[in-house]
Amino acid sequence: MGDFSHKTDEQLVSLSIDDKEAFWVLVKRYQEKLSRYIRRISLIRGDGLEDLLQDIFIKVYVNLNSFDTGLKFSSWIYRITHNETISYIRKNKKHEDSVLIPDEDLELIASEISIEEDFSKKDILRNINECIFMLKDKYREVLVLKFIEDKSYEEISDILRVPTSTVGTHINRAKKLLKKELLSKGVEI
Amino acid sequence: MKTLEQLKKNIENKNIKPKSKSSFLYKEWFMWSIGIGSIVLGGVSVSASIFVIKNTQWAMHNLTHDSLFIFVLEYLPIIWLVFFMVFIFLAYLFFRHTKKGYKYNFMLVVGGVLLLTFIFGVISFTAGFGSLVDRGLGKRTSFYKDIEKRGQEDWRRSEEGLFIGKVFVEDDKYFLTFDGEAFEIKSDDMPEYFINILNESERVRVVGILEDDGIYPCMMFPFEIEEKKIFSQSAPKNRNEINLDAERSNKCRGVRPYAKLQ
Repeated sequence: MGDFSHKTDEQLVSLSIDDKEAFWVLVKRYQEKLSRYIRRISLIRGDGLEDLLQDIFIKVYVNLNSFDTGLKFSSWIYRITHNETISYIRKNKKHEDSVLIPDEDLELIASEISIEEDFSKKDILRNINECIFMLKDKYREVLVLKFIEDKSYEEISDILRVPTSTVGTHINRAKKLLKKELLSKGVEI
Repeated sequence: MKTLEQLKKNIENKNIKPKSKSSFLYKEWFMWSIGIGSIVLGGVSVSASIFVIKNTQWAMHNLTHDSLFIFVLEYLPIIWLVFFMVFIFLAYLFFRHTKKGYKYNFMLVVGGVLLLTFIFGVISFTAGFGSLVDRGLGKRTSFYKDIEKRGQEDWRRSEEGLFIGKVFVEDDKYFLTFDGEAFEIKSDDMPEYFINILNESERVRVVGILEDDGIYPCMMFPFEIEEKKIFSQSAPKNRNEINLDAERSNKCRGVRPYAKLQ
């Protein structure tokens, strides 16, 4: 078994075609990231989340030969995750009623929309959590990708398959809508 | 770790393997052929539309139809415009789904597709595809009438003073043949430009009066189909004897389209 730990994602992709061990390294690198990403953009949890991750990694493995080397591997796997999550939601309409995005993630968004300090932190984060799930999927996704996953406009464009200009527009609109929702809940911005 | 262990089991037990490179290559070729095919077929629709619009006698709509609106409805190449839109949509979908297609904004992709389709449409019209497609479809299907047939039908209404047919000359007399019969064009006091049209054209359209054994012409136009030239003069000017002496004009005055033109 070779040492793959110093290989880049893209190198691991080409090695994975003939060597499953290289693919397991990719899975290790991404399973936690993708799991978090799915929880941030959807209400999928528990067994559903595990099933979805299995589907995603199998899809990635089956389609290794279609990976476009002009793209970052992380953008490609996030794109697959995004698409699979959407189709999972369509297939399984029922999921939990409430969901919690971890506080540290919500803080990242709070800092982006300049919330007044005199609100209790816990209240603000609870409100953001509620409001972010009231946004349309397309707005929630760009907020999560930009401010929590820390992706660039270019990467978000590759993940969501939309022009970079649209990414910018969606981010601005999402921030405005989120502020509006928060204002309606009495949070001062 | 749970995810990885389960994944290993799944991939091993179900013997899952990466799809071959060639399968993706075939898929890509297939997509490209749909994209290029859509541009080509969209272009053919454009060339057929140009052919139909080019050979529609817009200037003479008041001779054959009660209103311009009805005329436009009847002659607008709707079927080709629908095909054109369908193929534009398919080509748009294709370009959107190419590796980098999503990077360009909607207007740029639509504009690019439209431009390519128009360029191909104009090229294929000048190569004669427009007439080929229009006539071919007219011959082979019952639901589609080609522009030549439609033009002929509009002018084959002798009871309304509209005639169309082939010209032949015998014993210095001009004859118009249609529906298997030959009618003499009364030419005793015919203006010179009528004679020129009869001499130069294989087929003519006549607005006139059907008399015992012939047609008294009030207006005359050559009937030509423009196959390839985009910028040629296809609609002949209204040629009539309205400015001639009162007796002749009075004879023609009863002819419906003639009256309309005054």
